[in-house]
Amino acid sequence: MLVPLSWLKEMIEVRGTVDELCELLTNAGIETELYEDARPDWDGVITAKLLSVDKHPGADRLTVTCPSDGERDYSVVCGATNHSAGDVIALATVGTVLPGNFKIKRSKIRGVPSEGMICSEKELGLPDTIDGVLILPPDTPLGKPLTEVLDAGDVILEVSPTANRGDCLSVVGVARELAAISGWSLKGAAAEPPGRHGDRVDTATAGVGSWGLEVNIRVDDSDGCHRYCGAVLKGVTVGPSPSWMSSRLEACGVRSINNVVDCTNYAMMELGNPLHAFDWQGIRGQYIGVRRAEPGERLTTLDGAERALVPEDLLIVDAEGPTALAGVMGGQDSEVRDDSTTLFLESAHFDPASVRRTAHRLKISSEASYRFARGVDPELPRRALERLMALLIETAGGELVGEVADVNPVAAPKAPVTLRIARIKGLLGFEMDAEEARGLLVRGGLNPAETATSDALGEHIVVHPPSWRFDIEREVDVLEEIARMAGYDRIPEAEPSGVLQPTSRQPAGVNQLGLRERMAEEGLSEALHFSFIDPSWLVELGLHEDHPWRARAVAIENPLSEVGGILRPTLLPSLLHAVARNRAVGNPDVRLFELRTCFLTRPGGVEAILAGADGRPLDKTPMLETRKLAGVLVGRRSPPGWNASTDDDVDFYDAMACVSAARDVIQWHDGMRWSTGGPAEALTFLDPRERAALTRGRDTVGWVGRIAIGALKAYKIDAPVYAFELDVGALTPRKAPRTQYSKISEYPAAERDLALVVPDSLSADEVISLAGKTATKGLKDAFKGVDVFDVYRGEGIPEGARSLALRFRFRALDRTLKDKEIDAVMGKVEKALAARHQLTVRR
Amino acid sequence: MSLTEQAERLAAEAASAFDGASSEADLFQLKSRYLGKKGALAALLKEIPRLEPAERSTTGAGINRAKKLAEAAFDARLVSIKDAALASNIEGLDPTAPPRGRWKGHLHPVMRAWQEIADIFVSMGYSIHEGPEVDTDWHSFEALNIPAGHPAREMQDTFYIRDSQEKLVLRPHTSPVQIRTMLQAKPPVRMICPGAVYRVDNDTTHTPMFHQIEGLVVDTHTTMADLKGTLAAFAKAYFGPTAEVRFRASFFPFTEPSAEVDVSCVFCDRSGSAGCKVCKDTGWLEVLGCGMVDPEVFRAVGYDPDVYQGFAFGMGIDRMAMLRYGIDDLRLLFKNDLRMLEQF
Repeated sequence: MLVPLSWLKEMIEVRGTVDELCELLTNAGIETELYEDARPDWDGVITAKLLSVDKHPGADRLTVTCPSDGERDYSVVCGATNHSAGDVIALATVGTVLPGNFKIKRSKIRGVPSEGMICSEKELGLPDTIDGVLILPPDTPLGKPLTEVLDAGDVILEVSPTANRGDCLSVVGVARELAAISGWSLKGAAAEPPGRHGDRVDTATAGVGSWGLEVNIRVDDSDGCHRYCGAVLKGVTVGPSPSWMSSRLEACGVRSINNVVDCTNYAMMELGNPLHAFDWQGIRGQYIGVRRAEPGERLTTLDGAERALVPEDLLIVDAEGPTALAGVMGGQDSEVRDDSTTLFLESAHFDPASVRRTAHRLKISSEASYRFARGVDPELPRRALERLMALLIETAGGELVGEVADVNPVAAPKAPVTLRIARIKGLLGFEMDAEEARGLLVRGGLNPAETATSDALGEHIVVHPPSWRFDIEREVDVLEEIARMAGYDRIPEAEPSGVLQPTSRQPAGVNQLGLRERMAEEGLSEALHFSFIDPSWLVELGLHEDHPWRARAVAIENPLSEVGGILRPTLLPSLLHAVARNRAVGNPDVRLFELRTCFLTRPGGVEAILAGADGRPLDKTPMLETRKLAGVLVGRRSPPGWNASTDDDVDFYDAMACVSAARDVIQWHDGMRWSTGGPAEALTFLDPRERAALTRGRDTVGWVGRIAIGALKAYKIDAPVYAFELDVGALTPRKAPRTQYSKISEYPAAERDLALVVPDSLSADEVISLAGKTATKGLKDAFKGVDVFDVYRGEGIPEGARSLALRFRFRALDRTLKDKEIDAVMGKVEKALAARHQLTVRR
Repeated sequence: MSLTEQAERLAAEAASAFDGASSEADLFQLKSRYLGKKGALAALLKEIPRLEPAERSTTGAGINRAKKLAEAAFDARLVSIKDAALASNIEGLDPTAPPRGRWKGHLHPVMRAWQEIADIFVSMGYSIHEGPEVDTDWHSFEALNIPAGHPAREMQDTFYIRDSQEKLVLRPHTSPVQIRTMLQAKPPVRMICPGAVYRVDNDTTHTPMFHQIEGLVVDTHTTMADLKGTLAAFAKAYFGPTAEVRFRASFFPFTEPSAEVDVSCVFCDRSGSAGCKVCKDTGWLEVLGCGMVDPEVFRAVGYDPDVYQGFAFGMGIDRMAMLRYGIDDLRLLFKNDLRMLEQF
């Protein structure tokens, strides 16, 4: 909200600079900034009193004066004639730059030194009204910047009250808050008592029947409308507003429309109560009612939009149907026109929640709905209406017809709140006695009773917050006021105490820290992307529409088109974009990983979770969220250099090395299987010749491979990209495996090599696993493992097969192994491989 | 010539032969000729049984002495050959030439800041919790004292999940993790919850996804002074020992009283020197929001608000990372340009 300082100064005696005022409000939670400063640049111009005025010894027309700022006396030569000793004047000191780039320098005028200039209005850039220099009132304080004592040019403040302080959304409201925290005194409208009350009535009549100018008002929904004041004004001339009103509204950022609309806005800006003027002609049947909408009702609002209404919408209706959305926006049919002469004026208090719901559903944010949603002083409508009428009569003519109607003019009940003095120390953490607390509450306008003491409450104060402080309902609300009034600087810095419990550097579950550090060791840098992707990115990967990533992607209702409308089920497309971007800016070797959450909808839906129990949803995670680790590798295997280890580019096994590193960290258990067919076929974005899926039962929990040329096209990447992705959430064992030491042997080791012809359909993993199992069975603790040490294709090996050379390692804890024992085991291994996989040994 | 003399001569011959060997292979061949099991010196030892018993021990000792000499000569030559082989690989050593490279990975600055902040609170006894990024309206708003349509909801413009009737949101803050933690644990609670959060906002100073760390302490005695002390300790640990904190009144629906927290500008040291772009010459950086947990939040999770009290705070990790590393463009954080990443 924009507030001109000149308006604020009509409501409160401002006893500080603009900066001080902004700081006071901001520190108290009402953020206030300088929005526009139209004050002239008078830096260096101060108030001073002429101690003496003497004739210049060398020039008849000049005087030599001695201005004093209260601390220092100056010598200034002046050419004017309207000043005399004792006058308070505006002194431009040496260094000042006056409007028109007029620099004030130390000088000598006809032999007399002059340290500055006594300013005229013209020299200060003000309208020239007097002949000679500016003479200020005799009680002006001395030595002050002129900007502080002379109002010239306005300052516009931008005040942003927090969402709970709707009462500060007016000039009077800001003035009241400023008074509460500064102790400065209120004046003008801000010092006036709130409103008047009467007995409860549900209907009333505005205007006079015998003139034919009456409106019968009936409030059917007193939960939605706590008070409704109306008045009929006739003989109004609609036209432009006077300039003082339109320019002030424009300073507040409110567009001037015509004098009627401007008066409603002006009174609202001043007092805070939204107001509405209807064209009396537009009200059918001389009736105004307040009720909820009926099914199927529609209303065309002021902005020309036709709105379908629902039964929770609170309406202003006439005899035939809806005519306005209560507290949100007026209707088009009853809009004030250029030829309107009779007006019906509305000043009411509507339920915040009701206004919020309707405004939110219809996506309307008006000045009225903004204020009602945040809360308006329920006592204000009558007073606001009277202010509106006075403004209208002044600017648009017209006269009140008969009586003002006031429906339900009952004082809104406001419960007193008790503050226990001990809670100041107990919650805020600093000492304050009851006397000081009560003093702050008085200044804050919370109407405290005298301090009392009881066994149950100890020393306590009962406060009666004013009607506009609807945010104060509980003791903690009063404690907050105490803290604000005392200033948050009063809170000391204490050393917290509590029970010491062991904690961990990361949450339970996936060893994210370990994985990230390990990936960095593998030479991959960490990427970070938004969780949003565009659904087309998945199509570009060649995924079938039935693929879960497409079929069960989580979609956003209100996406930002530029970042994409679904939550990514895979990290791959984001990383491919990063590869493309990096290569485009001259980084040919790209090695990146990302460890983030991926999303899919639950196959069973979320209804059960949302339905919940005990009036709230279940605590189960609504979407399937799992942590994935993905990496991409492009370019050279080693950094280039005069002594590079290799000039080769990365290949499948470099990606696999990263997977293996991840496995070292997670230590997933043995139930995982690699396959190049079957489940891998769903990985359409990988080249069929270089791809593998990691599976657990029927679930694919990871993959490695080279991105298919087709899938790369969209990214314009012209180099082979190897990538991997692991569902580390699924791969992490429930129970973290414990590292256990196994004894090392003092006896010599033995090795045996075995070369086998293995068809390509059989994975190395399967061969190794069977060989290992058999060897373990044969020589329990002495078998130390088997590795592939060579893979050979070509001469002597049939098409569709390769030779795998395995190396078995043996070492016993308790003896030197005999050749005989090892040979026996190797025989069994060969037999098992032959029996199970029909493998032949190459000799 | 006695056996001993023969041995001494053989040893001398072996030593000169060893010295003449030019490769390791040659040397080992010579070794087996003189010192092997079937070598010349071994042959002499086999002669000993033929000697008079009285001569056997002195001769044995003599031959062994000669053998030791030959072995020493062998060892010396082996070392010199190996050394020569190594020397042939070393030419014009230049310790300033680039060393052999290997790819080095770098952790993302946001994640570094994340862990650094987490570690500070862990060192003060906080545990770390995570929760879902798509959460229910109840966990994200209702339980935090932000009922439907509450103006505070406009404080963060929220992403909703399609077809959920606004019942599922991309969490706009990590506060639902506080709710979930309190639902599962009894006080005392001392926790932080770092994570990604989402708001409908995309300009030079806002990204639709960013990161927060929130903290929560609940017990029977913790005050706002403890909150200030905790955040002051954090600010010193993160920004350096001269950092100070200042509280300003504010409003959050889930805390009361609430405060904005400023940390003294670490870039200009609050010298008031003109031209500090980071604090815009205010001397202060707004980095945190905090407050005493609102009793309504305790009610929502089943804690008795007449017994328990505590504080909560929250900060943006991305902003903390930018302040920490002097990154001046928020958008850089999500571009993943290696020229940026490799600086960390």
